[in-house]
Amino acid sequence: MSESTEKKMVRLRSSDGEVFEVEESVAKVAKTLQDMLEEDCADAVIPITCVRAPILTKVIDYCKDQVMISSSSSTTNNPNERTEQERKAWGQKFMEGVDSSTLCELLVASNFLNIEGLLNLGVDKMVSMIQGKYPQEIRDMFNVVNDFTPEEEEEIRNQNAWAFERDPYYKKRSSSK
Amino acid sequence: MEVVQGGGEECCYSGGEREQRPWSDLCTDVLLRILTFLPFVLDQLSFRGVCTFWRAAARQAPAAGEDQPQLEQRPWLLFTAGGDGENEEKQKKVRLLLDPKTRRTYRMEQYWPERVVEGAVCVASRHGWLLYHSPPQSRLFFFNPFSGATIDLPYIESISPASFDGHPTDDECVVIGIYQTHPHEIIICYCGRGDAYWTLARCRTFWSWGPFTHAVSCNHLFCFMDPCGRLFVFNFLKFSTIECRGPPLNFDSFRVAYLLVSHLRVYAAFVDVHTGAVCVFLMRPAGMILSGSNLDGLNPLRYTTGF
Repeated sequence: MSESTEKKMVRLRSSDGEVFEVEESVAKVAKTLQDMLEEDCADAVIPITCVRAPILTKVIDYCKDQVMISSSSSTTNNPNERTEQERKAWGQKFMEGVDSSTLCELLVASNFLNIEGLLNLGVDKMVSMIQGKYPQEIRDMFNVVNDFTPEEEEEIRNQNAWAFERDPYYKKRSSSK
Repeated sequence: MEVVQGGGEECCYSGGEREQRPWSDLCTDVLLRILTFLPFVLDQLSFRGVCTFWRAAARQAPAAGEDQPQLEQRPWLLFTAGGDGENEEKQKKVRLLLDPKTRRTYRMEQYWPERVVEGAVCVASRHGWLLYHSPPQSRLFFFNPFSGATIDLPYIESISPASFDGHPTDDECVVIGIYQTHPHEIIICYCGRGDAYWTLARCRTFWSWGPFTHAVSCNHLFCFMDPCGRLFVFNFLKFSTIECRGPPLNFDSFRVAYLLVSHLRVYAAFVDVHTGAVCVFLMRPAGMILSGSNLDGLNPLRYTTGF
């Protein structure tokens, strides 16, 4: 560990070649990078091969925020410390406006860089997007190709027929009144 | 360094133009995490129906509707669709599933085994499994309505009511019920997973029993209740002790009673048939305590006096 008071910087290169310079503490929020930095096996520029620049920007934003919280949480009466509710609201705001393809890339990035908190935010968002949807709606939303064979499709259809057919039971009843 | 370059292979993305990311590239563990955080059973089924990769990932998770240790499942209510005349035959094969949160009902027409359609009665349900009793064959069997799996239990002449403790695919799972032979005698029937026969415990008393309407089991205790709301507890670890516990309630007013298990605790709920007011008691070793009520306009104190 260096003795200097100057903050140590780490450089990260996205898959599309953009280089980001961040403080070491920020990079260390990502467990994968932390391990590398502690083993001192990081070169001048760390290539993050599966993350594109816009996604890496978002990831770094998240890490910076985490550093800000944790650096001040040791002191008492910390203005940055958040209640559970505030944390939730912050997470929601952070994920606001994230479209489905960005969400996917964020999930991949946070899983790969091992950032538990960000992964949880992404999973929560994904769960809220999937709830109450049919498989076809999920495919449309996330641009997933239906690659089942007709036989498999039929089998699935039989297995969860009720997930495909919403029951008009209540509607009929209320309209007949 | 290798970690970065090698580890990402599976989810690797060749940059360049911004294109739609193929979702099927998500790593299995991320997909699994998403699946385990879906609390409602139909959402889990939808998830499995998206594409082959998602479906394959889901194979590593418990079957849809079954308990997942990480997360509480959202409860659902399964019921038969009433039918009239010509519809009746058809409606026998229909079950409806209610999601209490969204108040949506879903319909299911196929997939029910013949014996479920032909007169088997659901006597208990837990962990996403239903316990059926089929009177013609005098058999109890488990049925999972989402995977279609059934598990048969050994022959028993008669059993009512019955209950089970533990997940039906777990070694600790125990099915327990009552076989009443005489007003002053009941036989407690007990069958563990893998047992070829039922174990029977005969109980004779001075008072007359039952007929029992409700039964639950939890924490090695088997609790059953008669229509008067008298509650009996049998410890099937010690294989002894039938206690009679009356809730501190005035039964002139309350008539309908239910027994339920939630979070490994046994509750007894009493409903006033006239006003619909509900009183819920928590069962404790020392007796029953009032844990909540919605006695609209009634004085709860009146109902906490001795039974």
